[in-house]
Amino acid sequence: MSAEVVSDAVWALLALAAVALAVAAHLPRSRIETVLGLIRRIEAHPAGALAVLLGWMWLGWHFFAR
Amino acid sequence: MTRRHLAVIAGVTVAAGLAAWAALTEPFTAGAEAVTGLGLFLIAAAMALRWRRAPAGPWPVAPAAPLERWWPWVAFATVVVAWELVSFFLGPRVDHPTVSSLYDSATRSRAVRGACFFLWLWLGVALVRT
Repeated sequence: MSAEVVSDAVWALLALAAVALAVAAHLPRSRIETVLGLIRRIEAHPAGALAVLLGWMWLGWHFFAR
Repeated sequence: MTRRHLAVIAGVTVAAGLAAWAALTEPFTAGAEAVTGLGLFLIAAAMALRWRRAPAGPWPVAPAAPLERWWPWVAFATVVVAWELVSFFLGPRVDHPTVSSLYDSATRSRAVRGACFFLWLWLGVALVRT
């Protein structure tokens, strides 16, 4: 099995895990925080809100401009 | 039709227009920097307006979520960052792609690039509204 196949498989598994976590978080009596809940909690502090905004800005610049 | 409906239609139209523009640009060009910069400016301005209009007083604090509700996400983020670092340092990219190189491969299609840009703007709007 080539390194490329292993690497792609790991990324695919991680993507599936992200979807599974997001879905599990919305199940009744779930013990996992939702993505929105995480963001709200981080944004509950001014420094966290600024960090989230800067992270979003970096994401856009990195992927679309550079 | 209410003012809120009109605002949503206007916002989606602007976002779709920017996404279409972004789909026609290539990274490392003035066009890509211009459209991304415009998106950054619009969301940052909306965020600044929201903070300015917030009532005076202490920052509203959300109820604390117990750590047991956080750890799955922390563990997941740790694994993603670790695998990203492993891929970054192992190289070459064709054998060990990073998130950025996966994105580059996926966005050879202009339609996918435009959709990604639209999603990024939507995420920015969601952050402003959170």
